[in-house]
Amino acid sequence: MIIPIRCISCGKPVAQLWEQYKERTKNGEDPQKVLDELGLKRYCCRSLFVGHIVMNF
Amino acid sequence: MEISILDKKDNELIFMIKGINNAIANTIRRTIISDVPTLAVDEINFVKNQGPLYDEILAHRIGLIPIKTDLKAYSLKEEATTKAITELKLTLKVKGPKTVYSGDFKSKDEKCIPVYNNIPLVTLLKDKELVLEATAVLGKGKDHMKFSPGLCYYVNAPVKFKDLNDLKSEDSEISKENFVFFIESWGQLTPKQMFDESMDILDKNLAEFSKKIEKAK
Repeated sequence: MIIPIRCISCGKPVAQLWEQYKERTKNGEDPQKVLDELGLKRYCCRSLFVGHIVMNF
Repeated sequence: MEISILDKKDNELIFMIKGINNAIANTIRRTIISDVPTLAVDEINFVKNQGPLYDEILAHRIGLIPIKTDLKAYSLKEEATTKAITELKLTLKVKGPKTVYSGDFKSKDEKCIPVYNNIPLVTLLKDKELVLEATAVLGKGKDHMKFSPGLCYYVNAPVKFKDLNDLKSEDSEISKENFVFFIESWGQLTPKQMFDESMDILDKNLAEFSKKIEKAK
């Protein structure tokens, strides 16, 4: 799947942060810290990122 | 009524309103979420879609993109006079291999463009094309949440309120007439615009309400 554009629960646009998150966690940064810095403070938005699985077309 | 600003960021506004009740606080919240209009794509004409996503799914994704809104230039379709502008055309023409981003849209209006340029929409393989024309209109959150300008919530403030950290302690006495409001914007409008606009709409609705009551007598 491709990352949803908005948070499923609160409606905040999140897709613009995804590639940054993917890049930074791949480089070994702590996901919790990255999520905090990206400004995702509610657990609905955070769960979206943590539980997301990338599928390549 | 007394309003004081507690914290202000680019897309977030926290303020305290003293001397109102729950009903008024909730009216403000609901007006902001479901009655303040913003621009969002509502209709799409697909000329060519050779990507992996179906038209409907891609259209849904495009609809959710927040677009910077100029409320003075555009008007709601149902309230529009003959001369008023109600639509904004956006075009997209890309060829793969490439990930299509919201920034690839070309808008007819320089002021009204997608808020974020790097929202991934779909990935195209080599030589696959995507050509479409999208029409954005003003709409309200009660019709579809894509039109909602942001999030608004409130909490009852403690009686002895000093700063925002006081909200975290649970054992303090809660005031029934002081409220701390949080307005969070999704980018189409600033939080201040959202609040101002909601007050105008509330005024209009109340005027209509009292007119109807007058008639009923």
